[in-house]
Amino acid sequence: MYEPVGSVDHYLCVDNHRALSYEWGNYRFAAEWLNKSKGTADDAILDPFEVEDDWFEIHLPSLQLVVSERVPAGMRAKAEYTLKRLHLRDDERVIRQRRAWYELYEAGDLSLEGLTRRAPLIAAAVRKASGTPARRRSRRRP
Amino acid sequence: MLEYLHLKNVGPAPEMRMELAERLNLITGDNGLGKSFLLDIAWWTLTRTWVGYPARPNPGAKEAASIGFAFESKSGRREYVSEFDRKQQEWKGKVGRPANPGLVLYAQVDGGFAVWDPARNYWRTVRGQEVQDRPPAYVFSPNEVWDGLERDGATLCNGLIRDWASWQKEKGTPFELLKAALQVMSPSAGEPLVPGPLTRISLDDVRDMPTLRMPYGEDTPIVQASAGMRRITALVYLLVWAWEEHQRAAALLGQEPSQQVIFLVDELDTHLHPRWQRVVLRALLDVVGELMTGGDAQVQVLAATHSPLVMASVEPHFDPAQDALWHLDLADSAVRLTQEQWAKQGDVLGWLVSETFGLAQARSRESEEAIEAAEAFMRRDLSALPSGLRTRNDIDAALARLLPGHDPFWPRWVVKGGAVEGKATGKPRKKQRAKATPKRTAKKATSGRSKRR
Repeated sequence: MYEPVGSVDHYLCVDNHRALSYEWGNYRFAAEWLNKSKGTADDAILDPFEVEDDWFEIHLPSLQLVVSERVPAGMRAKAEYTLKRLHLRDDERVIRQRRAWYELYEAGDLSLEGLTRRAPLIAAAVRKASGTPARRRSRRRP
Repeated sequence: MLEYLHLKNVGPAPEMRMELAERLNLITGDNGLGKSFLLDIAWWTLTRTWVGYPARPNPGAKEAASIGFAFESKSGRREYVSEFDRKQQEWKGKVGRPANPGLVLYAQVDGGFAVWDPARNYWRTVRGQEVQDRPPAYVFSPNEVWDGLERDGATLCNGLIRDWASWQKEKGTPFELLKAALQVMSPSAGEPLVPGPLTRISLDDVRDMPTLRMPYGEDTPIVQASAGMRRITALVYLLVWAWEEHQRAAALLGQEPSQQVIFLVDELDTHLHPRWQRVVLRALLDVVGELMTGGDAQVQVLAATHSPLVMASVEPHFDPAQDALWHLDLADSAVRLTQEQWAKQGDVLGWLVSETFGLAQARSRESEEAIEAAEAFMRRDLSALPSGLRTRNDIDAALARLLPGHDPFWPRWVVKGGAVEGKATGKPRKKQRAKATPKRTAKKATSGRSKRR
């Protein structure tokens, strides 16, 4: 998700883990409103550090964010809950921006490479739909 | 400054605690969960008077009901726990002179207003004895705001109509303050709230009637202005009146005007057009904090609101170090008061779908249902489809009936060429086939990749 503002917040919230208030390892870069939605859910939400690039994917043309088949089985329920709790599946607040990125790409104002930088999951969905596995190949390189 | 409220067995929850922020406290929550109740309690803790019916302990509660609170008074911090005395049927208070919280103002949702003025409602010392022979507070019904407040034959306030008219004729500071406050409260620079010339509205009413200059050039008698304008002007008038009278009384007593103002506002957005909702909170803060008190006094505000636009309007000014957002909600069929973490939501839509208001969409319920069905259909979550919206064609028909052509949802439902994406119970359209092919390819690729991993 493109986040040009963002804030540094606690992964394990201060209410539940006061001792971790000033612990560097507990800080994450997050959109403020997402952190607010997380609230005290703590590790019931996926830690951004543990999420792999392909655990979530964008569904086209609906632009919904869904859990992909590559989430480890033991993590699936947590991933689903993360989508729900943080309103990431199809809340207007995320959909509006996804739509705007996708429109820029479709209108030709943003290249696929540009889309990859700004909205990598939408770019991955575009590649998947057109059968271009560019990202995959580059990733397998040592 | 009110520091905290701690309620036990009174009000909508068995226990409720509110640690207030020192400047702005915004209270949100569904109807009937106790926003007005909290304001009534705040008023009572500060003034020892009730504006309506006194709060009653919850009948089912086994333990004693109590209202605990602390505030910063003129003579230091005061903390007290008042228990309900069942025999006397009243809340126990300390004997003698209560603490002085400064000027307290309460704008109620029905247009009523209450003022507690430390110079005029406070106890005084007569021959070494502390006595309370002044009115305990000024409590106005909506009509009394306009026509004046009398108690026991004495006129306590002339009311908006007479005061405004006499201020206008005097051309003194109250009228200047009134004009300036109206200016600040105006929805935009293009539509200033400006007093017009005084007029008469009836042969049977000899009062000079204030008017407001309308955008279309006419002067409208203030009593015939819109509900929103009347709410705003009444609010402005009472603020000016309370501050003028307070200053005069303080001067008579040889005291400095209060350095502390606590302002309670219930449903700030009542009757107000969105243009007004967008400015009202900031304007009130400016009127109280700058115009009235010259920026010297500490102003604390407790405001209840249902308006996502009020929330959006406060984003540039909200400072988590001195402001707080409160939310009343139902959790396991009990009311819960929580301080919400502050986060900008950007606009009205963002606020409506945020936890603060909790809507799934900012649309009609019917459109929301159709779109939720379309979303579920697109991600193949067929179990989530409600009856009547189980096929692509049914969903498509519902969307076409409910959404305007420019609705931003359409591009996500209709793929290029006008075909509807997705494959479920309905037959895929022929045009659709070509679109569906890369999907199958992608799926094959997916399984291949996962083997490699």
